[in-house]
Amino acid sequence: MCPQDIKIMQRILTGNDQIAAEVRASLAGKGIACINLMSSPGSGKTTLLQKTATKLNKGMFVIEGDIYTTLDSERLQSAGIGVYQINTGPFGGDCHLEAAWIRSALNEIDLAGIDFLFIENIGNLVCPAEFDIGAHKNIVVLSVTEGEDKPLKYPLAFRNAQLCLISKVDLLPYLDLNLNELKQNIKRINPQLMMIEISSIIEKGLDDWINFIMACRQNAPEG
Amino acid sequence: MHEAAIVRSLLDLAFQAATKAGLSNVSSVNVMTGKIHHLVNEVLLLHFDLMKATYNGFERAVLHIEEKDVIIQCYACGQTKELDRPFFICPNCESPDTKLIAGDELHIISIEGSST
Repeated sequence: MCPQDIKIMQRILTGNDQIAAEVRASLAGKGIACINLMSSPGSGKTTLLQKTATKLNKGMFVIEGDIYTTLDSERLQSAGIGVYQINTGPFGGDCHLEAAWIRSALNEIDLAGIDFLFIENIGNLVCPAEFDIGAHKNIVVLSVTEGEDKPLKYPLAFRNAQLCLISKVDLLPYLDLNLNELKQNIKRINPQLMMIEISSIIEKGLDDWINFIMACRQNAPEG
Repeated sequence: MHEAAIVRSLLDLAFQAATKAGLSNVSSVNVMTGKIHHLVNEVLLLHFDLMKATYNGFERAVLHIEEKDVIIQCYACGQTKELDRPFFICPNCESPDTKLIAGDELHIISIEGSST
């Protein structure tokens, strides 16, 4: 019964991080750029992916994360996009994806001819930001209907992203939103974060978005 | 509610360490969490108490959380400042050229216990 103090000093999410690194390296080895889309529910991620498919003249595939329903997958499939659905629910399911989900999905997906793998994370601006899922780029999507304050309320998503898409900007004329204040708040959280104003409906910012995506692949995927 | 997934990973790591060290009765698990992670301590403790019974030897374990403030260092003026809100801009000179030096921790530090 000798008391012992065992020092460990290890990151709690080490296991997830190791799987994420494997996923990232495996995809890079196949020449596939993996892009993780994070946002609140209803920011326009699925519509953006539909529109992306019409503009991106490359092989693309989507891993769709939802607690429940295959509604988003059906929308993407009807647009001719290859998709693999992850449901973590239906009741009490995880509110985010982890690297192990992605590794399991990749074991079942035929990646031949795929240049870009998009992961539409579960709609939630808090939890997905905590977990590395093996993407080469993390994108946070924030719609203008959500208000100027959201970057301040959910800073980790903005800290861990390499690009912020400010979506649904076609609605700006109808909203009492100060776009400059929104951008200033984003810069307060992550001064280096690149931003693109985008609208899938009026096709604003899509060329910049496609250029960003293409650069992800041209610049050899990395961690 | 990512606390549940974090506690699951924490207990997995702690159980591996206890098994390796031959501890059969773990009394405490000590962690360090940075405020940037938006973790709610009460929720971490709740999940820990709910899950620990499924790990042999952890039935009486208590979770101790050391919460770390968010601190940045400014490359422009050289000052080190604690942030009371998540604005990663130097409170002294307002430069955005800063580096996070504390507050991003999410670590298991140690476990304490005994062998039978």
